[in-house]
Amino acid sequence: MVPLEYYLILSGIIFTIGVSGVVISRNIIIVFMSIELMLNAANLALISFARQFADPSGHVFVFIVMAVAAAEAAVGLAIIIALFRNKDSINLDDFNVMKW
Amino acid sequence: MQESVKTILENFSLNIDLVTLMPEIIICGMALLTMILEPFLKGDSRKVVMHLTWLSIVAALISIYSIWTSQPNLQSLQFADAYRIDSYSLLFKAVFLIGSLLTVFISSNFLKFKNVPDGEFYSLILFATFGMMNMASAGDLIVLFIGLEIMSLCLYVLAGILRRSVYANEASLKYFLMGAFASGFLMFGIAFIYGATGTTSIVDVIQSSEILSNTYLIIGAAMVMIGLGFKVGAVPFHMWIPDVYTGSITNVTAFMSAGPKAAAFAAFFQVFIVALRPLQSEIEVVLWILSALTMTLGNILAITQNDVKRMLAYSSISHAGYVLIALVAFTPAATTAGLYYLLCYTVMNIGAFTVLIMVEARENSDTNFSSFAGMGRRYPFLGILLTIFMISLAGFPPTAGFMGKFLVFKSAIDTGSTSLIVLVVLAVVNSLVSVYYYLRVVVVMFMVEPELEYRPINFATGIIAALVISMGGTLLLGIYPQIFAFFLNTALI
Amino acid sequence: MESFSFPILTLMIFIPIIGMLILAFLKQSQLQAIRTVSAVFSGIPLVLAVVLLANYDPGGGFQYIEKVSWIPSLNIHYFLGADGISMPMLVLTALLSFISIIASFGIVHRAKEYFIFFLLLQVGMMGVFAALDFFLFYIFWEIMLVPMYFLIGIWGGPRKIYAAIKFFLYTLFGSIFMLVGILVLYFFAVDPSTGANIYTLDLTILAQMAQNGDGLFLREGLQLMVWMFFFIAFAIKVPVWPFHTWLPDAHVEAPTAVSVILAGVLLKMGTYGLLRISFPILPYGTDYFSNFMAVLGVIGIIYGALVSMAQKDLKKLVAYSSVSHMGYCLLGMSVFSHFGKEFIVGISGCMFQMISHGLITGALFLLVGVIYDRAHTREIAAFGGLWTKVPVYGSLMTFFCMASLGLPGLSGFISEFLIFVGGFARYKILTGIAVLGVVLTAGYFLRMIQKVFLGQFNIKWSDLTEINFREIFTVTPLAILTLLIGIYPRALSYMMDDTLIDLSNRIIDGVNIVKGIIG
Repeated sequence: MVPLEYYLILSGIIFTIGVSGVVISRNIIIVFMSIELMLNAANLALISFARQFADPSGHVFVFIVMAVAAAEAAVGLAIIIALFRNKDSINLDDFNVMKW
Repeated sequence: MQESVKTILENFSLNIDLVTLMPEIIICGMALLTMILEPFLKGDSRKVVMHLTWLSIVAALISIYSIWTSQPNLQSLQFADAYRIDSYSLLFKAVFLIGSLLTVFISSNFLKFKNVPDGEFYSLILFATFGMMNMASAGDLIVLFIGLEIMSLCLYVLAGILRRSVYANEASLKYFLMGAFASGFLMFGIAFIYGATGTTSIVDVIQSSEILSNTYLIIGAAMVMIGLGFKVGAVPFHMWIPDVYTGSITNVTAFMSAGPKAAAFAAFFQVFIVALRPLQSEIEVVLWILSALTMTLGNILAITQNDVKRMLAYSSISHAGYVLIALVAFTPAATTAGLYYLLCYTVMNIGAFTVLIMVEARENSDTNFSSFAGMGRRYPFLGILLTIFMISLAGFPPTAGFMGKFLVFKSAIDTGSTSLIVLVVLAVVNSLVSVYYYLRVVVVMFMVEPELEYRPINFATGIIAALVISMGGTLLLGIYPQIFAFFLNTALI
Repeated sequence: MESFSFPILTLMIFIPIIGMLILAFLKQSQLQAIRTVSAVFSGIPLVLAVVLLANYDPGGGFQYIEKVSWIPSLNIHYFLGADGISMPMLVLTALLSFISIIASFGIVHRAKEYFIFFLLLQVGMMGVFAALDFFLFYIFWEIMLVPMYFLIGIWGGPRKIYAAIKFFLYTLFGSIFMLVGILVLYFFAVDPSTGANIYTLDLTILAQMAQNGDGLFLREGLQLMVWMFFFIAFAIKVPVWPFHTWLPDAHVEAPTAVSVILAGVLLKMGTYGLLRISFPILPYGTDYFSNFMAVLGVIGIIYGALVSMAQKDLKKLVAYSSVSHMGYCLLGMSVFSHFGKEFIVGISGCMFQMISHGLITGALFLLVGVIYDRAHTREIAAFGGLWTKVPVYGSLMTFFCMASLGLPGLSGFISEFLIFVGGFARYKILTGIAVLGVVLTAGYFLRMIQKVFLGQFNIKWSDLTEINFREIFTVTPLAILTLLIGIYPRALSYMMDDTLIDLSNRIIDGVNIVKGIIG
């Protein structure tokens, strides 16, 4: 059996990739995907812990997180579309009417 | 695994008490109803949606009051311990509902002025309120997360509801990206807390005698701290606040600064004071730093602003810092004081925003300081109201802001720890600094002559209702806090 | 102890609020009505103050007590009462408020708001002098700031906004220290019999604890810290050198009547706070820092006098003379009861100085306002030989200048004499330096009189009009009281002697207990 730590390390790596993506990328869609990656890293951690404990609540949690991620995607994409209509761009640097 | 599922299912009892769930049922039901109803209404009959909304909020408040009076020491765990209803969560819900009620009152006319479709607006407000109520009542980290997401998703949309405005677009985008980013941290943290304790139930986390791994717990706590830190706007996770608050339509800003902030604090209190009590000493240190940074930076940046709305955004950061003192104190009395502070902040801040909206809702007006020049002369009564809100925000007796600060500081000094006394002194110095920028509004209002005749302000019924409620609250909470004695006498478990 | 007789103090404090409400419904143009209403509602407290004074029993401790539970869960009471320290202050406040309202009849610019703020100011001031619960005291203390801020900021001179904000921030800076001190007191109040925390802010109970040496009052380090917190708050108000820099700005920019209140009442709140709070509640701190207070007091006396000499502006001169005169208060109180329980010379000199400075400087500001209204300048050098033109005005001005520099027979002499007698017993050298202050005071007042009223008549002022009836009416009561106290000081001292002896007992007991414990 693969030890728990391996899963967690993988999950940590995915999470870090996600965070770096959000921080570095200037493309809104990629930022958005990186955020999804962070949530999936959390899912992986949840599942590995749930398997370790043989406890179903972790699995249930994963389903809920997936549902939330889907809802977030819907709202997020809607916002991006509204933006795109006004500005014809999905580059974060173009959205600077207010100082950060 | 199969067995464990079976045992869980056997022990599973939903234990639902519909009476105590009434506030949630009313709000959620009305949110759905307004969403369905809205497309069928045309013309003036659309006002029905607005009236239904505030009526349902009042009904929810009444039901909270009746639950409170009929079962004063309520401690009920429902949905297999995932949902907790007790005096503490009821009070938090009351705070959210008051914030939402005031928002509805100030919105109706302003939305028309800004040409915003109002059907979805009210439904979103109600859903967001429902999410906050879930957060306050969460007995389980899963419920907390769901509540947070319900609230946040509605707020992302509300921030951008002025679809054609570039500012609103940008506010919405920044809020969404930052919010989702924070959710990622929160979720990752929850996963590790689960990994450390084997449970997601808030009450069980504290009781789980054998913590599997302290490392996991600390990683989890740190991640949750970052996630919730974003939501309450604690420095250094505050950078979205000024832009989102400035870019959003003003009534949404008022809403965001009250309820959602309080809800994020409700989550903060539950996770850190109830669930993560074993880590108290580590958490205290981190929160101390967060609190000190938050109030100081918020204040310093507020001084330099030329826009009242943006100034209030920074001031809301510093107020979050004051509430964090209650968290650092880590005592039941302190959490109650924090809750009282949040109630005070809700009424006085929305009150200030109400006046701001009245000023903004004139032809060719904005929210700059210059829009206030001469207002005190043209509308002395309104000027005095805004003065009272401002001195209350500055924490001046005999107003709500003073009483809230007094209680928080008192609870902090009560612990007797030197570091907390230092923090209180810092907070006190900060409130002194804050007087400067709050008074600037008053100075401009009364002592600066306007360039032209002051353009008239429109007094709508809803706005007047909101002014009356927030002013009444600000004075009552400050002068006679005893009628809110139930606040002073309850505490988180 | 829930006692509730006829709430005369409450009436006295809050009656101006009714006046404010009536004013709110008047039109800006109904000037006459506005003036009448404000004068009436500021006059009623004065009448009540006289009634209180007539029924006052000097040996009776706190009187006219009203105590109602206000925030039971925090054990905070609405607690009012008057004793020998607050009684004279209440009368002085009522009198000066009424006089200032009369003196403000000339205000036409936004008169309605002006009088509303003035009445609110009166509420705050009366409240401070009557409150016996620290929480209530603090609230009145802060309430008073807001109208003062507006009065300076809207009706002031050219740099009004700067002066208003400076005044506000300085005072707030101090009161915030006071708030922290209040919280510490609150948590260390201990029930003597059980040793349990009782969480009270009742000034009488706290003073009792200090006398018996319970709770907080044993921990000397903490006591010294809290004492310092309160001292900063009160010293800014007094203002003690080096916290005085707000005072000249505020005085110069403020309208005449506001200057009167500022000098006559607000400054007294600082010394009143020291006598009412720091002295009985923190006796060890008081003893420990008494030399420090005396030194600051003497620095204030000399510094204020020297700076006054250099002033070219009449109002600034009077303002800096306040710094100097309040220094005497500090010197007097720092002696307190160093030589036995009956030795109250210094402290009663301080009380005398508070009252007489209120009367005299109030009148001086009124008189400076009189000439400013006519000449639109306050520059000393611009005048000259006015005596021939305005003899009545000149003699009034001279009368009050003489009172201020301590001419025997007038109240300033009594207070300075008492302070020097008391001070000399303890601080020989310091008092010697302070006596020099009197010489300097005489120097700048006489120089001012000489330059303004004597010498070559400046024909620029040939159409200067004499002081009118209303203006004479406002300064007459002050002149009478100055004379009365100067000739018959017993009129004032009978009120406060018993209270001051009691106070000095408390301090000595408290100091001895703490000293006994720490060895």
